[in-house]
Amino acid sequence: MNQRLIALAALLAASYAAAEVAVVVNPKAGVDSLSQEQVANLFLGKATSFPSGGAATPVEQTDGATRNEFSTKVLKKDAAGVKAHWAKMQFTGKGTPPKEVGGSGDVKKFVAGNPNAIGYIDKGAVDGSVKVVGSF
Amino acid sequence: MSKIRPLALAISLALPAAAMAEESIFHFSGFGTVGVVQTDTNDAQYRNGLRQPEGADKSASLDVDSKLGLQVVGKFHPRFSATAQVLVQPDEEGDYKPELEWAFAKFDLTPDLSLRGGRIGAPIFLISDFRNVGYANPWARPPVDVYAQVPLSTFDGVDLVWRQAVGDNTLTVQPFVGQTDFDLAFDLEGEAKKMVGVNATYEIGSLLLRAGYTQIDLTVTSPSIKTLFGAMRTVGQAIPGWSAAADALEAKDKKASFSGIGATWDDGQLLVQGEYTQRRTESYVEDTNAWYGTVGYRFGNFMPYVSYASIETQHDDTADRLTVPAPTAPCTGAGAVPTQPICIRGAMMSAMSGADQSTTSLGVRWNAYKNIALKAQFDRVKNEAGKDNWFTTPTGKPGVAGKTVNVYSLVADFVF
Repeated sequence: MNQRLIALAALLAASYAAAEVAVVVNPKAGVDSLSQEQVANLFLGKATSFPSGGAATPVEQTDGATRNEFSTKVLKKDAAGVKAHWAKMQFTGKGTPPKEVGGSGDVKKFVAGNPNAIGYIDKGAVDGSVKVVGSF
Repeated sequence: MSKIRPLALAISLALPAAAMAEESIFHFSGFGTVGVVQTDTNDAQYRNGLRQPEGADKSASLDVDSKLGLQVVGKFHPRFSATAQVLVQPDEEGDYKPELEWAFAKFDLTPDLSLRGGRIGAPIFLISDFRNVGYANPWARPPVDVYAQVPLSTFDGVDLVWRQAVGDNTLTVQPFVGQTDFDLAFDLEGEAKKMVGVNATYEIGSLLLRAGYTQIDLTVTSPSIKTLFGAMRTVGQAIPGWSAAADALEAKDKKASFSGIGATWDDGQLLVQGEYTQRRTESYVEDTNAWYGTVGYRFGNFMPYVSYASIETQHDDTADRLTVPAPTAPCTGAGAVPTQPICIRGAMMSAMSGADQSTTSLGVRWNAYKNIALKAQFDRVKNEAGKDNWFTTPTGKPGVAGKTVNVYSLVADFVF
């Protein structure tokens, strides 16, 4: 019984760990770490540059589990909430939503090839081509 | 034909070029609402503002909320863009005609400071620049008690949008100058000249605080209002005080201001929003104070909400104080002499536009599809006895002063 509980707990922990989202930038961006608010501000169009002053180009994933995870944990909104936020921004001429580039692999590739980019990927997909500035 | 050919050629060249470009410089989007509204009375009609000539009564109306907006943004340079928005909604004649709501150029002077010029959304309320985008708002429509106070939504001029990070918080300050004119129902025409204002917001995580102030030189007139002031001045040749009162009341390049404070808390689950506003004019357009408060809570794709809104008129007694001789005949009906001073004073007092009403609303928003929200809303509108309200009363109907009206609305909001 105890063993079964431990196994279940391990399984749950593993699934949570797998769902963790890493916010990544280009290694040349000169950014070390970002708070949840700073990341949210960039992805919601409330800030357009890194705290260090460099221009930031956020890229979104297409709809899926990682995006939902990121929206809930970092942007603190559900999918409809994010959509409503961008409807406000867009129809007040204040900005357009970040470009959607695909899944974790596509985002990693984009960020690795663009010094201003910031994206988020499944933590398991992290490698040396990008730099992690926050995990959520 | 020779004129069409270059255009056709340009289009045939531009379209594939735009389609082939990895990232088009043009971004098209749109929003809209299809709404149906019904009330429990035929005494007057419920409308969403002073521009709508008719609204909903016991027969359902599609015109109160339905609209369609199309927007195109051209990003010609990383720091230069142009935006145009066309809005189709019932106009002051009740016809659906497309209007150019916005057309402005935006130049980013720095990443935090941009300059815009052209026709721009007037940031008079907390949500005024997206008041038409139902999808971005919780209710079937912004609280009418508050939002009907200012019937203009855009201006022609320039603004600066300055955004400054303060730690993790964001301060946005938007000063603007310009002018506009607007047409309202029943032949009323308005002009807002020398518009100067500022809109400021401060965002602390889930909390947004807002304060704004706008002042204009206001003109609001119509053929019947002109006749009325003409009649007052004729009386003024015989009775002292009347000409001065006409000058004081006539809305002809008169100073007017609108100020408001507001706040929104939205943490993804709980939504709390409220505004307090004041309209002041040195004319027959009355001073008003209005506010609303809304609370909503999200359960998955459903958000039930409650809202309360109220508006009060600060009575201008300029007309009340006029000297009038005793009537010699009735003002209406058989043997009426409507040009008697007492009748003109009465007409003036009823022309003064303001409202004394309050609305309690209950509703639910359902995010039915990824870009469609459905809302059902029930409003109970309480109108003060002997006062004006934002309903429109068709000829021959008794009106709803002193009555409570139930309003039922179903709307579908979409963005694309």
